[in-house]
Amino acid sequence: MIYSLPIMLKQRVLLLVLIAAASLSSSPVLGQKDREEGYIVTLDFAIAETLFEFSDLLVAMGGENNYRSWLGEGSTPSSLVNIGINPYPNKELIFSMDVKGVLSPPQYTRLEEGLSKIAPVEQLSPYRESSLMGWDRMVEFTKEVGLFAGREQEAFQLISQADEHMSNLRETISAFPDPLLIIQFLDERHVRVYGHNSLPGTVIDRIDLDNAWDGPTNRWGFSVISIDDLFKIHAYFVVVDTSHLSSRRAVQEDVMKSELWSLLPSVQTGNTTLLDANFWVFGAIPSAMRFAESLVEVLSADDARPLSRR
Amino acid sequence: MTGYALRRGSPAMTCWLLSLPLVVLFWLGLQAQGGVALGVKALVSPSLEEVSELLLHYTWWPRLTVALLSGAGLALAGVLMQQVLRNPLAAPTTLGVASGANLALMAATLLAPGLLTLGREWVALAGGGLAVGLVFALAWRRGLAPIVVVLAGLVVNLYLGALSTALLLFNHEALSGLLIWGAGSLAQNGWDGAAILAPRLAIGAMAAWFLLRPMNVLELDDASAKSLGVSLKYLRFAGLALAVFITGSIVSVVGIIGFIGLAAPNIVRLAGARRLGERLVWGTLLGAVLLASTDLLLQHFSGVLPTLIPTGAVTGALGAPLLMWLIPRLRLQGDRAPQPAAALGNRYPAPGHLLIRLAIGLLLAAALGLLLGQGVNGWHWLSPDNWSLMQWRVPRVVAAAASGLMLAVAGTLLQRLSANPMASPEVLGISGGCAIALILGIFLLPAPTSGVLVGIGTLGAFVTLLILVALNRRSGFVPERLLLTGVAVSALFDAVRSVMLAGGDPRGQQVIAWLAGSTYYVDLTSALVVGVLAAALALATQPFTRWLDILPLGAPTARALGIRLNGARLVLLLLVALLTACATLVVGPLSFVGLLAPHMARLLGLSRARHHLLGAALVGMLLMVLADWAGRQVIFPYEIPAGLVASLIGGAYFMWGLRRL
Repeated sequence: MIYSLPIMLKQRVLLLVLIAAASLSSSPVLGQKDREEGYIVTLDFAIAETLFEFSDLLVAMGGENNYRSWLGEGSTPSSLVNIGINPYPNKELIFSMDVKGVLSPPQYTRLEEGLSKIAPVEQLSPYRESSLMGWDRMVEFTKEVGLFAGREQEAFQLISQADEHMSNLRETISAFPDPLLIIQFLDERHVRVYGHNSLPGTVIDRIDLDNAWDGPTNRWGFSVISIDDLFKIHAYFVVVDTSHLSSRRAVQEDVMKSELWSLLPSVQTGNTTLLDANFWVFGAIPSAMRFAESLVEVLSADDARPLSRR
Repeated sequence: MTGYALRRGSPAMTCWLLSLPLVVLFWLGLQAQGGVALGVKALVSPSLEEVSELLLHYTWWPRLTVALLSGAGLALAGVLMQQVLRNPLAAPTTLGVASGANLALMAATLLAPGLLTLGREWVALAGGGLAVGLVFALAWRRGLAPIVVVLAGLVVNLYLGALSTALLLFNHEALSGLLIWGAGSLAQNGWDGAAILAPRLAIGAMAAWFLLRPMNVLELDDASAKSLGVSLKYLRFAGLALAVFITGSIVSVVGIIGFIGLAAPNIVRLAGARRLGERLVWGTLLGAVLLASTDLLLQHFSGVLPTLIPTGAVTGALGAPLLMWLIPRLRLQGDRAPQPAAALGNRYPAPGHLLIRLAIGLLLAAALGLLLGQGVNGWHWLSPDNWSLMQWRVPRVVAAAASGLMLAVAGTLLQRLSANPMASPEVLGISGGCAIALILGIFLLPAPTSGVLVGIGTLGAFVTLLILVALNRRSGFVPERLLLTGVAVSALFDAVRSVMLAGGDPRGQQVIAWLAGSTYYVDLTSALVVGVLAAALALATQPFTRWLDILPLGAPTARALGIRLNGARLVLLLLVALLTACATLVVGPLSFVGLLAPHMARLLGLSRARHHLLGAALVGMLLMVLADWAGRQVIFPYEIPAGLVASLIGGAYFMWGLRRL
């Protein structure tokens, strides 16, 4: 044991450095304590992106590298503090910060007992079980986040801004008659399709378009199906373009080149389009607004040819 | 062929009986898509206008073909592995092909996505090949002796598995596509997969045919085989390389399909196929039948399920009860004297000194874990009276030590009880049962609290123990049978885990985090409770050291020395179950300290039961405390679970030890 220690240490350090290099895009930025207000700690991107909308709020979040890899640099405020990964937010670090409260999604209940010794913890999510559904649930969630952060006014502003935006978009796109199927490629043979209770589904319902996926979904409103299942669905395919994520580019190219994909009725008639993935699919109102804008933009483009117009 | 086999008895009968459902499902499947005639027409000359014919031609038929080919290939590889390694627990993935392929795909996805455009199969194949190469390199000097190969395979699997889990934990959403591959989905979009597999399997089957006669020699012990003038090293290399080639081809095309390669050979063996030739033929056929029927059954129900259920996961879920049903009905030669497992390492001349050094090491590690850490302002030493930060560290150090202690003791008991080096608390299935219950709790309850989860987990462990006892009471707890039961439960656990993860929703990360074995969730009260329990249970093993010295010598010796086997085995089993359940509730089911610590104590030269137990306990605690500290500090504020780090540290030491043998 004792003779082997130097070797163990070297290997261990090397390995951990490898993991670190593979996993982290940036080194953690630690907070400065010169602000009046304390931090709000969150373990969920839907909560985080809602908090980002409130001006000058101090936010600490877990897994920020994942969020940024989807939404790009600049999608998070510079004052954001990284507290580790979501299932294990670093308690020693949180304890040494000035924390006002913790907002956690319901799936992390096991964290609540530890964190509630540091600051009050509340569980919130736009995707939890609730009597409200779709947009109403999203609105309710935003109000609750605003209430917890002491920014009720700004939350109401965000909601009314989003409502107005959605009605404008609804008028712009009212001419589009076909059901839409929102698709995200997972691997060469499988896709996610988004139903009514997902973020894309909520937006589609909100701007009075038709969602083609009525099948069963999970709590986040999506379902995983294989590509041959798409043959049974007659819809305008909106493919979430994830080619900006290096990890997904190969998959997307492979599927779109494959024979089976090219034989899909909707693909053969040209009823497909790519949609920029500038939103977090499990997000809240900020992502919903961006998704809605992109969707209306691609559907209004000249080459979007609805089935029924042919 | 048929008549010959039928006269010889039940392996053929078992195969034909089990293939009846396949015929029915095949017919039903075609009937649902327009009838058998259309199905055949679509296979031969599909019309590109008709969607139903397109689907039959491009997805249904290729999928069936790939299922048959993969099932057959995996079972063939399983028979070869079990023959060469002389271990019924050996599976096609024992040598690390699947975990190597998995890690290679994950690393390529995250670090070098350009490689994936060359073809996913090649990346997977390269990863699997490298992993197996490492196993061979570790075991080469010992002439690829089965026990060394198995141990090297186990540790490489662990090591790569731990690395993959770490990557997954930090990049859950980016790797969600790979989770489906990891769960083994047979969905096809064309004939590419079948075209890759068919020729490779044909080559594999032919090579197996040529190896058949020499491989029979491997049933003899080493000395007799050598006296026949066979080069054991090259024979084993040929057998293993063939199995690896077949497995690698399948894994690279369809992903990880568990259980078939383990179960099919065992089922035909249990059904009476004794000779290698019989096992190869019937095992291969049964594998094809099992996988294809499972897949057809699954397609039948896929429309009503809210999430994708990959076939690889379901084979485990359906195969596990089948194996459990078979276990009490069939004879195993479980009471024979086991292989000499003690050949690992030389006995250390002064075990007392070694133990004291380990104890000092443990104290130092605990001090390190409590006092040195990073904070907002970088590294700093904590003064011992700084309770405000200490309150976060004490529970974790205590829990790490306690779980290390419990798993190490449980592993030592089990390895001595069964004389099987692959035995570990995870293999017994207790932690698997506990984990199934917890995963279902996390997924099915809207917002489960810690207390509820602990209750559910305990219940799961208890139910598993009942199943183990019920299935093995009549046979007198023969270790081999016990471990097979455990393997069945573990397969069920893998199935539940794969299905939940392949669904790809955000709860998956929570499950991975818990399975990876972190002390994160322990608070002071539960840490103290667990610490006291661990100490009490570990002390409770002390009266049994005489049994533990004698049991590895085999059942006849033990009986001759006056041990009541059934009673002794049951008592030890209960102790193992208790230890494992407690540890699993604290740090999750996958920490592998229970496997590594007993072997590490052996490698250090502790071979008497009392010293082995103590040494393993100390090594287990030391490993977990060090791992917990390193996991918390190395990439602060990110945390790597202690279970993962322990696998990495322990695995590295273990590989170094194997190389030195």
